[in-house]
Amino acid sequence: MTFDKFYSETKDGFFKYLYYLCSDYETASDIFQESYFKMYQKYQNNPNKGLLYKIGKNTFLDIKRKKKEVYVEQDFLSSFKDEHTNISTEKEDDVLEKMLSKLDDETRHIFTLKIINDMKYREIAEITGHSEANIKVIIHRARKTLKKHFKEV
Amino acid sequence: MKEFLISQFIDDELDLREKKLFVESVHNEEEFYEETISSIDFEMVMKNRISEVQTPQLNIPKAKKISSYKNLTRFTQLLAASIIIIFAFSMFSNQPDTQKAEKLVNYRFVIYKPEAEKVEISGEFTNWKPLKLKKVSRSGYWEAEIKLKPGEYKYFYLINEKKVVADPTSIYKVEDGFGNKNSILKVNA
Repeated sequence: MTFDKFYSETKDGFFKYLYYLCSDYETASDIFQESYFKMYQKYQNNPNKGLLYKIGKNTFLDIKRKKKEVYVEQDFLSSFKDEHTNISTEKEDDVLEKMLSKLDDETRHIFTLKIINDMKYREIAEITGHSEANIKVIIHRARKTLKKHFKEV
Repeated sequence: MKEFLISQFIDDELDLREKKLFVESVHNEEEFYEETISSIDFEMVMKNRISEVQTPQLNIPKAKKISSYKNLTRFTQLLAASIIIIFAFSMFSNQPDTQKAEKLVNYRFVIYKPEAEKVEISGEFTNWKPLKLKKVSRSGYWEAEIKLKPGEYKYFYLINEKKVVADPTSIYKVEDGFGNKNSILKVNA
């Protein structure tokens, strides 16, 4: 498969996945671009969907780690300009996004692949490195957790 | 353990044995049935909440056409095929092309003149020279078949070498400047 064809086939699903993984459009766009760039550099002639998602997830974890380091600093800054920060928080009215944020990273990663990209357990297992049986359990628990949260809301 | 079946059911991941167990459980256990229904409802709610996000545009370089041996053979195949097609097409299209220049349409002129002894046709296509029409047995019809190039022609019938008559079957007529009428014939390509 040529790379441009691979891109046009995977881009929408992959971006949705990143969007719900990051719950932030800008970060998702950055990761989106970087993932395809990495893929192009090394696997231009043999692009692979599973690998793309792996790259995406690892990039997400990298960014998250970096963000944690400056997290305190941001908190410190925000204490100065309360009125301005309110605007950005208003935007986040995506219920699903909020619910997904209740899950831990790994579960959210797996569950996003299921609910957003509608992947098969087998595909998810390939991407994440878990066994299919494990995926089955994780997805079921994720549903249970979300349902509980939803009832509370 | 059994409650995983609900999740698997939603995700289309049940094998045959599990399907049987699932249906049996739904049938026999009220609680399991309730749980399944509410799970499906919840799934629907979640699916509805997936918002449409716009995928950002990236500039992906177009793949090079001849990058490997496989592609090369494919390319030569395509090339050969296109050459054959072009060749065949030119052969095919050449023939009607030469015909087109001389393409003639057979046009049949008919007039009903039972009392006439001689009917001739004269027009631009005969350089105004009178051309005899053939009598069609005893029906009173006279006819002639003339090969014409596409175009517009003026013509008239000449009865008994004297009387000029415009074609009664044609509605397009024009004065000829001598007090008679000529018919106009349009031959389409």
